[in-house]
Amino acid sequence: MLEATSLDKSFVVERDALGRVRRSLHAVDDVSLRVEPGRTLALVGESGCGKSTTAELILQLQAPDAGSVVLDGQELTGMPSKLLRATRRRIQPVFQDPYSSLDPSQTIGSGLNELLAIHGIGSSRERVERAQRVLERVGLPSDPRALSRYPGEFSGGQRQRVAIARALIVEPDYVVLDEAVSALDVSTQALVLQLLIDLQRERELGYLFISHDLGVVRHLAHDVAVMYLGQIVEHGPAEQIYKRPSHPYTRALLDAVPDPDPDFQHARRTRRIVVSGDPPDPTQRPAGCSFRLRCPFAHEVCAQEDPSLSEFDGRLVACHFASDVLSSDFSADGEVVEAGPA
Amino acid sequence: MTASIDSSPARAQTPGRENGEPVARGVSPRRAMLRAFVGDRLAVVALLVLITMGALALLAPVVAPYDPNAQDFSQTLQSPSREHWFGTDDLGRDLLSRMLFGARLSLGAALIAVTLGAALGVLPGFLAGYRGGTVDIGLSRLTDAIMCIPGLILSISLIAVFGPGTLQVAIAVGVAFAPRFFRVARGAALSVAAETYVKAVRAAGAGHTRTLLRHVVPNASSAVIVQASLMFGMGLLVEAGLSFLGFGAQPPAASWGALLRRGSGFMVEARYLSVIPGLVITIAVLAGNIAGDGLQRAVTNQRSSGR
Repeated sequence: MLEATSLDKSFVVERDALGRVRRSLHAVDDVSLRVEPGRTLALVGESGCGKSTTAELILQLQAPDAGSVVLDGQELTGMPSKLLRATRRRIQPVFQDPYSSLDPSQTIGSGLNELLAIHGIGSSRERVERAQRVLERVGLPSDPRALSRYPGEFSGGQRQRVAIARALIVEPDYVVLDEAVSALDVSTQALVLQLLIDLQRERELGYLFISHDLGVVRHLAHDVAVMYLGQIVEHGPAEQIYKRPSHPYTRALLDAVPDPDPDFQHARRTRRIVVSGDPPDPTQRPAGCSFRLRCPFAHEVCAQEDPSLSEFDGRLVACHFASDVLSSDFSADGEVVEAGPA
Repeated sequence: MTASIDSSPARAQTPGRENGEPVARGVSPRRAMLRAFVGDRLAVVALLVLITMGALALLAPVVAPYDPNAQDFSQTLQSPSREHWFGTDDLGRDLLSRMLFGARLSLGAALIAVTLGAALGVLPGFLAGYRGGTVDIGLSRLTDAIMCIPGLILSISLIAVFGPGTLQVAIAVGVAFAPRFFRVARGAALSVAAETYVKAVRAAGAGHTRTLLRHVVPNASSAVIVQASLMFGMGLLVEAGLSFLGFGAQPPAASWGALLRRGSGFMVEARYLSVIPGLVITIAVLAGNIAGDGLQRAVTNQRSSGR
């Protein structure tokens, strides 16, 4: 089990002349996640909400200010880099941009070989065989000529398959997929998602699937965590969250996913929640609930008290009015409660 | 790609294919860059000029019609003629022969300067750009300090310590060049270090040494190669300048700059003595810059189409 507990990370945005912090950004605020073998946890939120920073903390690319990442009982944060290498094999990344996530000056074959070399796996002949097998598995040509190709010769979808092959070749237990299909067009997205689902079944892989698109997440998530301005606002089984969203932000995200049924789409338009405005400047988070300025449910209490993540209807949610959200048939044209600065 | 995996829309979105010919199969970015350079006529001509000059310099003992230092007082200050293509100087020495032997000093000094500058500047630059933090701050401040001293003053003071001579000039110029190489290498490494593939290999378990040598250096080095080719022209010019001031090759040996200086004493009686060395220096520097610019274009084109 891969478990992150109370992760915290801030970045200094501005210092004054004396080097004191003037503005800082709380990118990840008390985030706890758990990825189990064979299951997918989706981390969802709009861009800039701290999803990718969370991924980098879990991948040990950055050190958290507080909190810990534990892999099968073994603490990873602060682990000496030599020891960390062995555990890195077990948690592999796939990043968003298929155009910058592969070294343009390295052939596909030498890149795959390098990963095996890093972890001291196999003789050089075995490595070639492994590389061919993994390329075949992800649906790419695997002949020796394919191994000597450069990333520049592949399309976006193919590159993302290469990136998945790179993650898989060292036989990890967990894969962190940071917007892994977001840069692909819809038809390619579906193919790559299906590949990910098949691979998970075959190898009992645990996925941390990071995305801004709840529509994509629906296809493979077992659990969903919704993130807003560095905090988890709703976290629970995918079924629950999709069918009965109880945080206004989750509700708004779901309402924004287009539905193929025009009648449903039309009917929904009258009762959906539309979030107005951009997220607030993350360096100046409002007091109280950080979503209240955009929230149609906001009341005075939201400005005074930051709701904590607590058990509600079989999931965790951070909202004072979770039951209202769950039962509401709120009209977007209705009253939007203005919450003044606290 | 015979077995196409993705639907056609996915392939069509590959950038750089719409406006140019597709990158051929199995072509490394470096080969693509070379191909782009070869397609650049002017740059190729410039490179050929430099290669010819280099070859003539190497072959000087064979191709030079006269001994460069042989004096002939019956043939002083002769204008260019069939016997002496570039004419003779006040001591009756053949200018063509002296230019050919001077090329060895001038081109050699520029080459040593660029090599030394790169040797001193590039690796620290890569390291600073990749590691950032205190390593970067320390090395960058040191570079800033060196760059505060004007290049010419730095060169002259180094020559003051080590004495005049072509090698000393080359070393002095090389030391003065090192900060520029540092900066270019640092900048290139900085941008490569921010690429996702660096993050990806780090997360996959690669150590810093491997990441730096296997991923940052190969991808950042084209910028350094371009810089080196541009610095070659500058090296020639600085060497000529220092020789003109009398810091370079000592008589009777003479680099192009020294020949120009000597020629400048006969501007009225024998203008060709200064015009010819001046012209050759200009052509060589220009050729170096044009070739460097061509290389730069080839690198940028390759970068925009190779992704």
